[in-house]
Amino acid sequence: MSVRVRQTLLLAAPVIRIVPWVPVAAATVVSVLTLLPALTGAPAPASQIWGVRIAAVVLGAGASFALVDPMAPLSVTPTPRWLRQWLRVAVVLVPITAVWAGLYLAAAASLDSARLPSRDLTVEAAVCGLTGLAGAAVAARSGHSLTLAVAGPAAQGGLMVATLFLPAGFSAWPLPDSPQWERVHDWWLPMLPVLVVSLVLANRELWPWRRRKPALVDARDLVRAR
Amino acid sequence: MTATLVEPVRAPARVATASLVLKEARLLLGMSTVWIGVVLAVALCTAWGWTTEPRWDVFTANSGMASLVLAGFLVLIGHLAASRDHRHGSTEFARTLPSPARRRTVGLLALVPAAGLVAASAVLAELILLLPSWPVGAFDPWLIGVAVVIPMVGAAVGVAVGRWLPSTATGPLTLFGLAAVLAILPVLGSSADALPWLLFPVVLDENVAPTMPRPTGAHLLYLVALLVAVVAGALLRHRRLLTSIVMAVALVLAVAAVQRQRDERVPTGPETALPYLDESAQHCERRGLVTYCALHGYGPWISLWRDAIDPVVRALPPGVTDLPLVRQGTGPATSVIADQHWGRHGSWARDSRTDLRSQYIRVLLRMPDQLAGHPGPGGLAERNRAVLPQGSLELSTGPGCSGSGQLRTVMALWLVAQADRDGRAVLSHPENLRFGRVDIGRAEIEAAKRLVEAPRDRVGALLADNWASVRSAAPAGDVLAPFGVANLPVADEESACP
Repeated sequence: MSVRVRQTLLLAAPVIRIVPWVPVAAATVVSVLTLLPALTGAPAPASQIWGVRIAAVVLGAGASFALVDPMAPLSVTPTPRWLRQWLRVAVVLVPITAVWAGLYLAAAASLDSARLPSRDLTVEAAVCGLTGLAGAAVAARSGHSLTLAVAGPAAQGGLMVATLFLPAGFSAWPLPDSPQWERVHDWWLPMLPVLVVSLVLANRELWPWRRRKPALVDARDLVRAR
Repeated sequence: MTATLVEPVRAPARVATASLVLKEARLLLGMSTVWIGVVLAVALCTAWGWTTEPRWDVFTANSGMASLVLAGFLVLIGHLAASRDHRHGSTEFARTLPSPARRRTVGLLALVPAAGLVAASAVLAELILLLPSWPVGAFDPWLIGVAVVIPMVGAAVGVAVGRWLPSTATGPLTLFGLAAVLAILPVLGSSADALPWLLFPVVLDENVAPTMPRPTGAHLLYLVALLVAVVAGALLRHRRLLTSIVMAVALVLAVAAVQRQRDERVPTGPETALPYLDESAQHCERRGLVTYCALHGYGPWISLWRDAIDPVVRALPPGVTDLPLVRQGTGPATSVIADQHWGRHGSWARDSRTDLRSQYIRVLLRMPDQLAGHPGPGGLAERNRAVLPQGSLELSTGPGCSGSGQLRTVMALWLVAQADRDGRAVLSHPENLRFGRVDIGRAEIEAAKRLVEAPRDRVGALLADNWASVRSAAPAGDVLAPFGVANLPVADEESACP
């Protein structure tokens, strides 16, 4: 068993313990409440589709708070930063994916005849969720305060504002019976690799100069320079 | 040596609170994030209204939606401000401050009026960016109030949530929760008078007629009551009894205001709009040879309509006097109906001018109307192209008929081309030209192009000599032969336009 795998197994339990679960739990409650009107009301695909879309955004926002490690400056560890950060991503990604999938299945089951386009909605959900995680991951490079994680929801907010208010013909959020559905989802798909690359870059080791201690002038260097 | 004990200077509670209030307000107004929100809101409102000439009902809807975006910023800012006592391990330090938590909460509530000030400045900027245009229609001060109160509610929600749940994650999650509720409301409500739409903060439905009563005052009251309830929710952390009573009263008031909106709303349907669109609701003005009748508040648009119609009038024979009226709203079929939308810039304005001009020529030359033979329910309101409360209605086009071989079809095309410097270019895109139910053939377009190339006086003389034929379905015959147009194909009697 390689060192990295062993490190991952050893770290899994502590990371699960220290990740802030309250935001994830609150996001789960909000996303379930969001879908309730669609589940209890008349079967209309619009309610179900908007319900699962909003659930993806809210769950991504809740998960983004796991990306900031407040103890990072104190953790003298042989485990590289990328491994610790990806472990945090994985630890929150698994439950929120499960919650979203459950909500999607419940929404699909509440429809009589119409079907929810699973592939395209999953891509939308992945983009919405990963936008939050990527935003928080990028912010986490610049500090260790939990407040920085707000960058995740802020990035999602930016995505929403940029796409939600476009004219009807250019809407990024059409309904399945819209003629634009296929064309719009051809644009959603390339967003995924962009976000994954952003996460990869953000979860790297910090730049060496950021880890360096403040430079001290060594008297011997001065002597040598003379 | 004498030691003198100096009593610590203790500011009276009111002075201390006032200082805190001023400080919090100054902090908010100095935050770049707030002004980024303002710029975003103003940009969105300007972009949404960019293509059409502004109307008060559309402007207030756009401004209200933009203020929702600003309110989102203020939820986050309010939460961060209210939870600052608990961030970075400052809880213990905050306890040692001379100001008790209650006073600090009151100070934080300064964010609410400051947010109102910011929202008002955003609305003002949105109005200034409309210049030189200015909204027309009925000005409703309550709806301007809506755009100001919504960000105040946002700031109050942020402070209240921050006081009760200071965790950093609560702010964004509250924002997304509220956004989810707002996104779901329109999906749940199918019509403008459904409860979810009445609960939605912004009045989004367009006003079918400017004088048609809308319970917008009750809607503003609902928002103000919500604001009071949320403010009470923030103070509930420190004062239980009084704030509970205020909160309960405010919620009762909010429910009553929503109920009042339901009671006061004019029932949806085209028939109910008719009294507000007919001739009694129009104000008529004669400009040149044509009379224009505009609905209340739409007077400034008469000059826009005149720009569209005047080139046609100038091309008519001098003796023609029975020119159709241009009216907004409803009226007899002999008048031209201008709708409540008008393009603002470039091609949008050009399309509006071409539409009205084509319609004017259709009525002038007695070409069949779009709705002739289709007096469907609410036909007149549909012709007004107003977006009715239950959603937009599609215009009934009726069965098409052929204008092939008719002199008036060729002359109608020539008249449309007179309004443009490059008349041939107008005729090169016949798909943009609509004369009611009349289908235009290629031969008529080519004939009209020949007329455009001919001297205008010659064609004017032709028009004067054949004015009676031009206003009927008479065939062109050999009238156009001097212009090199002969043998226009004639439609059979069944498909020909009457």
